[in-house]
Amino acid sequence: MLDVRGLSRSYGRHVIVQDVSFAVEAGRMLALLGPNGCGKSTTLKVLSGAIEATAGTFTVAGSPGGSDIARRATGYVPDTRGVFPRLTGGEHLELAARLHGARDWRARADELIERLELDEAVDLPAAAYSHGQSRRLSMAMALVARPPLLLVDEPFDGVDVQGVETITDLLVESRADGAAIVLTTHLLDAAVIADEVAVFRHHALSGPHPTGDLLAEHGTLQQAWKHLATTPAAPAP
Amino acid sequence: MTDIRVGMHHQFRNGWRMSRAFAVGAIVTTVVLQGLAMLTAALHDRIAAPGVTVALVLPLAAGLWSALALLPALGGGESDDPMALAAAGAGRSFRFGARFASSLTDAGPGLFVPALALVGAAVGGWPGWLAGLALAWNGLACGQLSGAASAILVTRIGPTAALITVSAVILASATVLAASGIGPGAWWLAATTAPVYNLVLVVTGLLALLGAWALNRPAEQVVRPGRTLRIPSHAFAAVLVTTLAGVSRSVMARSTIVTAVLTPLLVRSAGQEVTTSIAFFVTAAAAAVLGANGFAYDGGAPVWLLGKVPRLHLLAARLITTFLWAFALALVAAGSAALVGAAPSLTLLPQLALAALGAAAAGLVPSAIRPTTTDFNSFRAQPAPVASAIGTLGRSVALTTVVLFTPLAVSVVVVLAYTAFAIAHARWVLRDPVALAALA
Repeated sequence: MLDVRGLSRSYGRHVIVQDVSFAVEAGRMLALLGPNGCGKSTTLKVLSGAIEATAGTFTVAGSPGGSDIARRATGYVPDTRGVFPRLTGGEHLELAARLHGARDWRARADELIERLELDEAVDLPAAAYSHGQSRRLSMAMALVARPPLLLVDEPFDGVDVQGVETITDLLVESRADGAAIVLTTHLLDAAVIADEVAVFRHHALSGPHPTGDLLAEHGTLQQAWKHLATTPAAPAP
Repeated sequence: MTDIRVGMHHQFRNGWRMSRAFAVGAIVTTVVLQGLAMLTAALHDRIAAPGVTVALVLPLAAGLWSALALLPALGGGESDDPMALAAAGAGRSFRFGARFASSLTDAGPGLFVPALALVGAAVGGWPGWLAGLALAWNGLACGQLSGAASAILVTRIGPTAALITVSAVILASATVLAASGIGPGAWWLAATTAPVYNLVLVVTGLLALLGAWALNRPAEQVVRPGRTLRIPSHAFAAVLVTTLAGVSRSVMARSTIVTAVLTPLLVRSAGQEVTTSIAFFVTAAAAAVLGANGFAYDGGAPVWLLGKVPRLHLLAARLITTFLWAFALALVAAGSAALVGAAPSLTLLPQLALAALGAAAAGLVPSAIRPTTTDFNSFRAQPAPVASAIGTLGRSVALTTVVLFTPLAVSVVVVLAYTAFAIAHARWVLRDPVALAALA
């Protein structure tokens, strides 16, 4: 579903992402881990089509990254509020569905509104939302059209315990429905749902590694991260 | 009392830190605008009705430019962050002091007051100094009243009723005060003919005090939507509809309409003739405010949109939205001018549309080349950098001047060529919108 080859991104002389390659098949989830500023969000911005890669290529469902087909196939949750202050929650979902070309989306929107506990806020402008509510709304926008590729940047940031559980459930269900998912998070306990984990180190990627193997070897993802972050970056076989 | 003093000190300090660069730009801009006002006067025969003399147009234009310079200042209180004050444990007295000081400084744009005074003194001697001061402070006081009334009414009786009510209340007040000899217009006239500046200062100070008391409006307050949007299924139409809603639901956009209504009335209440040329300059200034940042009003959403919509669609939606609002404001201003004796001509409509288009295109450029945090909020929430603000307003005014003073065919070519260039350039810059994405 997503095939990334030699992706790099620089801002002037400052290299943010260097020669990153990985692939995510349909029905699989990859977690990108790493410290602040290591290039996780920049990678997702490039994959979403918001900015360009300095070098390298990627395809979404066989279409070149950044093309209209790729855009429609991608659901993106940015790491910012990413909402329109003057649109209501319901209008956000309708806009997202329209831009994805979805037809039968209302039932899905109602379901997401209920599960993400946005019922009482759905008719309010997003400017009135708390940070956590904005994150939930961004999540709902990404999921409403059931895109085959999900790019989810820090979805648990500012979300309460119940919200983390709900978002986790939604991601797992989307994967079961065949979506390919790329997830970034600092919440390592939540990252265990991923099938594979890759760790950024000095703007290059170590991995992906099967999550089960890492847990078997290191016990926890936290220990695995510490180990991977201190060993030279090397792509997985 | 101590808390009030501390609050004022806090606000003055914040206002100064926020706006010192803007102050320099304000002074430069005001000088430039006064020069353009004189140009307007010198060339008035091309646009003004018969019988309007240079002697009438010059003070009109000077006053008008000054009033327009105050557009971003409406309401005040931008640096009075309620969350920060709450976090600091600020009490009511502190808040009152901060808001009162905010009324006087109103972040950067409020520093137009000394700028106007300096220019007024240079142009017209001490009467000009007083006239500029009185006009500026009256503008601030009206802005405070407008902002306070918006805050109270928007949530109580709905946005449309609020707009009508605020306009009616302020216009009626100005008319009554002017007729009674103590209104803003009367002050201005009196200031130019008699040393009544003490009265001017006291009364405007009282109005600012009232505004400070009533003002409780976050800069990014949103008008609660009265009805749900019906978003079209076509992608470009969907973006256009939501972009339009983003502007029409902002308190700021509605405040500029109030200003477009008020400006001719203020000029008229000052005893000056009103011409339809007002509409052009309202258009230029309002579009500069609305379109100073092509991506304003959308919070962090542009980054999400960049990944969803072709760049050309995004730019076109922004340009159309700003154009429609600027044109609507021009029509409102022309209508207001008609109410007080001007005679708008339908033959001016093409020029009005061109002025609106040129002003919208002028605002598109800086947001693509050098987007700032202002691009994610609004001109009011945080003053745009000096270069951005002056550049936008300068381009807008230059195009408006071309529209006013050249034959229609020439101005059509100039404005359309500039618009095409602006779109092409912005599209080229946005092929890799690093600066925009980095801001979100």
